[in-house]
Amino acid sequence: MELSEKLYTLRRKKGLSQEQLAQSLGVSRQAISKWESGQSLPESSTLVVISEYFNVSLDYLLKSKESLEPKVQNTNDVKIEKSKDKSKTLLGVVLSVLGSACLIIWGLISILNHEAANRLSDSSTIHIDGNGIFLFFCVVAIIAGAILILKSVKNNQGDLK
Amino acid sequence: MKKLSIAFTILSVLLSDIMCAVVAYNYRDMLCGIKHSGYSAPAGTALLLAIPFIIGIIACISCGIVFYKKAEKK
Repeated sequence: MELSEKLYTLRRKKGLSQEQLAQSLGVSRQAISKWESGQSLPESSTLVVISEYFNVSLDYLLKSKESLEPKVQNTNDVKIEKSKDKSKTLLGVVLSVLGSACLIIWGLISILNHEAANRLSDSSTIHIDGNGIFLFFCVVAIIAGAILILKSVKNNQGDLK
Repeated sequence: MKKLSIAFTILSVLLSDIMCAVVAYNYRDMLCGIKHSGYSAPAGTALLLAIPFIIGIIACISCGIVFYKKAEKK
């Protein structure tokens, strides 16, 4: 949409006639007519007055809609990526803290109640080095969490650069 | 971020403490088993239990460092 069309649309939206708008802006009715028909363009000082009168930005008046849209899309993309990074970091923190906590609990159980730790290992169908798969899951959770955290932080640093 | 880095540092310290306790307990258990119950494996196999803890400690320390650096930048 060009400036002439935008001026026409804004005027119609406010329900003003060319005469009324001309009076409000302090210009002649012919000038409004010329702007709306695209025969001439308002001066920069008048553009500022128009933007203030209709409560729109100068960008909106001067730039075409196509040049404004990608910026909006980009900011949306950045917001989505940031929220994704945040959720990744959160998941990473939860995974690594959970894995570490399970390791600590398992360690304490194996010292304080050796029988219980043995039963925990025996209940597992897969055994590694005589211990159940529980320890393996703890380590996998910690590593996955750390990788998620490091990746999201790297992405953030890349965005800042 | 600083709180997270502190939390991960505390976790790594806790993991190292528990690792020492678990390895020592199992090493002693293995020694007793070899002496009295006829265990065939050497007592050193108890050190294998340190592997998951070491991985956890390394991961926690690296996460702690990352969060600390991020907090300092902010």
